[in-house]
Amino acid sequence: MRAGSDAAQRLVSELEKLGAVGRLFGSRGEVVKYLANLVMERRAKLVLISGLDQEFSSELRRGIASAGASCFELDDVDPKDLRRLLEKAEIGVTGADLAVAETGSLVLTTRNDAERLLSCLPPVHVAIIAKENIVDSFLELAEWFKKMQSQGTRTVSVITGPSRTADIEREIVLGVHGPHELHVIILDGMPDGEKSGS
Amino acid sequence: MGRNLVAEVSEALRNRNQIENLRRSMLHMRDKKDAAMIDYTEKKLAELREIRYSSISSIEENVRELKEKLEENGCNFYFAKTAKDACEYVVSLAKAKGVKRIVKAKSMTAEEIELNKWLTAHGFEVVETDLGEWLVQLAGQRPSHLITPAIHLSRHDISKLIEEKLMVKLPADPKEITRFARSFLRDKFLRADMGITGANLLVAETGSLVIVTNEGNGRLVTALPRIHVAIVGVEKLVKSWKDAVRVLDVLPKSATGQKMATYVTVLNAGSETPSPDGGFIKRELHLVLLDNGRLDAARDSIISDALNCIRCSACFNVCPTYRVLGGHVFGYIYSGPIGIPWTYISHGLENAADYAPLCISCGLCRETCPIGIDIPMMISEIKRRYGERKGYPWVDRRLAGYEGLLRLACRTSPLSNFLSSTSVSRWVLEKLIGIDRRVKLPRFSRRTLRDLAEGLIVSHGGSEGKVVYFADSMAYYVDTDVGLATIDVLQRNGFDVVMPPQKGSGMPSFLYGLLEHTKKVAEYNVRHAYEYVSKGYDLVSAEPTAAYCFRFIYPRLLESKEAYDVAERSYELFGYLSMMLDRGALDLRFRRYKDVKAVYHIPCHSRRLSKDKPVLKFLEMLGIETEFIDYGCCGMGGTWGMKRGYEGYEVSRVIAEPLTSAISESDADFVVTECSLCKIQIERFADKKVFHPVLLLDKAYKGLPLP
Repeated sequence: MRAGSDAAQRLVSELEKLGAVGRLFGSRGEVVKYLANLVMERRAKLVLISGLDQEFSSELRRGIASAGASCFELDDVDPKDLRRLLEKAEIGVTGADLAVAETGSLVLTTRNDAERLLSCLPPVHVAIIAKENIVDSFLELAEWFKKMQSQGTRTVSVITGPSRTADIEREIVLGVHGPHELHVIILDGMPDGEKSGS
Repeated sequence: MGRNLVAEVSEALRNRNQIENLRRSMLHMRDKKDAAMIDYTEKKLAELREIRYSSISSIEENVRELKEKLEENGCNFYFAKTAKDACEYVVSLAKAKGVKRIVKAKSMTAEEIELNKWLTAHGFEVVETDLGEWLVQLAGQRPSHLITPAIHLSRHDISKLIEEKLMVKLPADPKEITRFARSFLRDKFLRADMGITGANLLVAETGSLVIVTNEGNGRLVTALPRIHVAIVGVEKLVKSWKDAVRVLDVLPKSATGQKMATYVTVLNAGSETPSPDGGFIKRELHLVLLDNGRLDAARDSIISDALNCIRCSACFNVCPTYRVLGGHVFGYIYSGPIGIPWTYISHGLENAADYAPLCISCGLCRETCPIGIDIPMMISEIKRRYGERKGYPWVDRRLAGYEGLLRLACRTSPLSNFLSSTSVSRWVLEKLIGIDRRVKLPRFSRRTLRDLAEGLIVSHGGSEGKVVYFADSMAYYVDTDVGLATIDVLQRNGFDVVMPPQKGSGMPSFLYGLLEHTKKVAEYNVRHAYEYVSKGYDLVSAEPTAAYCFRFIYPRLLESKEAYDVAERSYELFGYLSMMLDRGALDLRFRRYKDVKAVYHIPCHSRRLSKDKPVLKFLEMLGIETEFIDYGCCGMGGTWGMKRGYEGYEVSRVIAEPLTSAISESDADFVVTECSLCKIQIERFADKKVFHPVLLLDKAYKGLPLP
């Protein structure tokens, strides 16, 4: 399922057509900077992170905290506060298993619905994906879906752009029930085994 | 029969704003769909069709596999035979689990079984969360469209509605309204104990539910409440993920013109969700698999086609009558073209037959359907079943026998031409036959085409071969110049032309569901055509509807070898000439014109016969500068637009409006179209003459000036 060499570029351009943001970064440091900046611009007070490796997650947390927001790793949150924090978070940062260049889609698997809600409830969703996990077309995913749904009971979410509606006179409005904003960060050179679901 | 369709139609036609909004929206969606489907080749579409057909034929084994997998994953599986069974299951579940508040993601299947009524009657708070569906619920209405339920409401209607029902004053701005809905509904999501959804697909091999939304409400409904109930029709089952991804790929393209829907959620168990009281709870997942007529339909050789539907709603965008009347008139609970067979399946013959007369058999739904479902055939069959049981409307029977009238008028011309212009006789015609007195009747020829062509149709030892010319009634009795020009053009190109005995195509009887009559006509025409086709002749007609009948309708009605053989060799004139042009066999010695402008209107039945609009190519060769105006169907529907008042004429007039006003406003010298009935419609409502392209080509061959 290796994608063509221009897959990252196509992914970015599809995302932009959808009203999402696509960024290609060469190092984790750049990602941290981008997120810290986003936190400041949105004046976010609470950010939650899930689906990234521990080291990256803590790097991000430090960066976000220095930008003035509280930031927690979802796995570290005391379950009794989980729902409350999810409802309050302004930015949800997640990993992604795959991305599809031709449609501008992200594919996420989640172990539980706290993880899933992190890309549903906050108004801003930032997803980080390794460049090598981009595939060309949606039709390639048949076997992958089958494997994911046979191996247990992970929920799969395919996300293509920010939440949208055209229910009123066919006029497109972003951010109905899901995030208004979707930022997809493509990380080039992320070592293997550092993303969720692999 | 609970409905007075004429009254409903007349009321709907008074709502000018709604008509304009709906028309604009539907044209917009049509164009987006066409653009998104550009890479879908005939081959890809055929594969898709095969996937749907094989899913429906293996429904029962897929159900077994799905049930097994779901139960392995600890889910609850319930097979509901009827709507009542499904509703009772949900109500008793909600009671047993102490549910108070329910949120729903839009589901037409839940609409079909009228679940909300049951739930509210038992005291549950039920809130729709899809923006359009929520608005429709607030208004106490039903969805008027399969995927965009509030399409009939304008932004002003909506801001008024919210003020009236929720005492909140909002500007008539989609952004503001959406922002309000988000915060109003967010609270409902967070407090709900039960979420109800449908599903767009069920995948048997892994026991998976696939839920597609754009707003994200489907995700919240399935992630927040402690119980999730999905109510899904059995036809949504596919065997494998290989099939599932193909359907998921085409669905958003055909539905909204998106490459992919915003959210596709795939789940096969209830996951752990963070409880509002702290900690995790395990969600219960209940799948209610609904039959409600579907399994019977699967055994119905004609109606089973509807089960192949992926509910993309592309057929709504192009349906001429839906586009002006909207889904509350053009619908029962299901609306739009595919809604007629769906109503038949889930709500019975009467409810379907109540609004089936609004289908004018233009066939555009069949054309745009990504699965190629033969919707007009099912609708005609529903009209037949109803007609056989309750009798056919008297007007329909008269119009189905139109050919006898034409013959009589031709025989009595010029008296008939005189009579058709007096108001007294038009009044009589309206009372006796049901033809609206305002329809511009054609001038009948004094002699039939056969009489006029006598002596012309002789063997020239044609070099190109032999063709059967099928004139159809209008070229036979009325537009005999079209018939003569067709014979001339074919002969000029080296063909021997024969005209075996023939009856009018029978399309009107097909349209009104008098299928026994259509079958008789089909048998007659096929028998006489086959005599020549079996000897190597092709069949050509300059009337698109006639070629359409030979190619697509006769073989389905007759299912005989003769009908299939004739179908394979039936062509409309310009498609046929275009094939000759492509192989370099067309006589190109014709006059080229200068400073002539035309508008081209494509007849609906031509679209399926020749995909590349060959007439445009010919007009270009003739030097005629042509503007192609495409509003879809002109609204005539053969004889349908002649029916008096609100049974036909009034609707037909409104359908024609954008086309005819664009034609009137253009600076073209004339209009070109191949269909003789489109011609009547356009000449009635637009201020321009209409010509069959063969008349122009014939003039050009003869070096004569254009009319």
